[in-house]
Amino acid sequence: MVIRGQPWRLGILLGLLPLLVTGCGQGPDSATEAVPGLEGRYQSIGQGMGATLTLANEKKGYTLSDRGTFLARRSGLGLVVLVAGDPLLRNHYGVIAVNPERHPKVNSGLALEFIRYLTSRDTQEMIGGYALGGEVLFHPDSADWKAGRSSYRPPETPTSGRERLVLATTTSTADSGLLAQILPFFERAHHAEALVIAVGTGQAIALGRNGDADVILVHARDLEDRFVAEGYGVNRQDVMYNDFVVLGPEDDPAGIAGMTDAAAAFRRIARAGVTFISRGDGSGTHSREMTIWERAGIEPVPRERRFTLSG
Amino acid sequence: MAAIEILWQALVQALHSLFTGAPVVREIVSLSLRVSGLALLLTTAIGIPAGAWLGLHRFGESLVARLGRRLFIAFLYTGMGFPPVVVGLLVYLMLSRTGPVGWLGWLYSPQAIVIAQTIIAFPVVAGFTMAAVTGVNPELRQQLRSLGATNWQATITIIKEARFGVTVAVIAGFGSIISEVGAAMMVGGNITGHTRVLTTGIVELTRMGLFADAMALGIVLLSITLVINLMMQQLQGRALD
Repeated sequence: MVIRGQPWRLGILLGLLPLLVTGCGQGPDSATEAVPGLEGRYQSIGQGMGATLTLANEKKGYTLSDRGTFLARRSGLGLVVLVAGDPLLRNHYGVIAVNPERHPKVNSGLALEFIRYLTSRDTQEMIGGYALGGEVLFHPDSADWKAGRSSYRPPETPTSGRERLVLATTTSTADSGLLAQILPFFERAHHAEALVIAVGTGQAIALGRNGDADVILVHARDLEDRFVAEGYGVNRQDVMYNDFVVLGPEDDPAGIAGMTDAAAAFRRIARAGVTFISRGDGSGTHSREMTIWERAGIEPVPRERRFTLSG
Repeated sequence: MAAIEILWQALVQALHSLFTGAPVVREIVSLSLRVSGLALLLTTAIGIPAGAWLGLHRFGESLVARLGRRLFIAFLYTGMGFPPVVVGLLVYLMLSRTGPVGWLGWLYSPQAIVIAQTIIAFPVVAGFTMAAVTGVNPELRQQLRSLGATNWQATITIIKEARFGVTVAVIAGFGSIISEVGAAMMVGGNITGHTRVLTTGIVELTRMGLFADAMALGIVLLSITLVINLMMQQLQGRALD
């Protein structure tokens, strides 16, 4: 099938094919190199909690999840809670308004109202009473709640036009159904529409940084503090906490069931040479997982192999 | 950081990582090329003959035969716009541990991405090939046959005659494959150093809020596609000049 008169054109294509098939660099096999103990069984996927649970289930691997998302997804999964109750596994959520001095176009007034609403006693009671499959997911934690302060009253004169509040938050608050429970009252009281963007904590904070969200509800304290310290956020408040759980296959080849020390359980997982699925997406869950590995004295991904271009 | 600064930083970052061959980037580029190249080879091998056959063969002159052919082509055209995530979902259900071919153990492997991408690109390649060979003057075939060419030889000659359109078919197929993200994410799993390709890497960096890095990878993807399309253009001959 030589193209008449121009056989060299076909030659170029034929020369291109091996390049396509073999690629230009080294193969991916070199990527999962030996990490002491984990030896390539540590898999970072850069996806949300739902996808991570699906993947861990298919691969019969271990993973770290927030309890709410796990409960919402539990049916159809062969994963069980193996480790819970370590203080290191407590997961605090904070709410932060985006600083209007940085981004004059954000709806700062409504954002501050939302924070007042979220931390008020009525809402906190609603949060504490929200259950999925008979299990309470979130525990109230705001300053107002702890001080037993009175309930939230919206301003007497709501704004005339229909306002919009862009809330960037984590998948856990949206997927668990909590926001659907507590937002309608706020929307009615303020004649407003709350647009929920459910992403990882990393992206939620980036959205706030770029002024694309009015308020963020996330869970990664050190990232939150940096967000405020750099002048992007104002009025950070504690909202609630839930807990992370270490999940694994029912037969538990690493033998961590019932342990209460997360770091020790991670060490055992690493030694057992079983698969561990990491979200690896810069989310609050991922950042907590990293803290636990650090506490366990294990570096699952060497610094030079972390997935950023800028470092 | 302002959005414009992100773009500028991305450009710098992209050039930097292309020329220094940062291992992370090299690995993703390499996997993307191998996966999409293999899927393109498979889909070309199936799609061009299928498209040529559909374009040149008639199933008879009866009403049923003609309607059946039209319906089949309508399915093919629909397939050209089939959402990749739906293909991904189908492939996932097939390859899942509880699926019919779960025993292969191919879920979350490069093979799974190749399968999904082949299915996605097939209607594109077959559809464009069909259109291209249909555009060739039908008298050519009769002439070739009367000159003593076998059916097979005549078909090959017609495909060669239609090479301009057939190359567009392959280029369009490659475009749909290399830019595809939903299925690659779903059946590949975007595992570091194993199944992370350019598009899923872009999604991952975006989720992490690393917009400049994500855009840099996008620029890398565009550059590669451009170079490969320039190469494939060689097949079209001088018609473009």
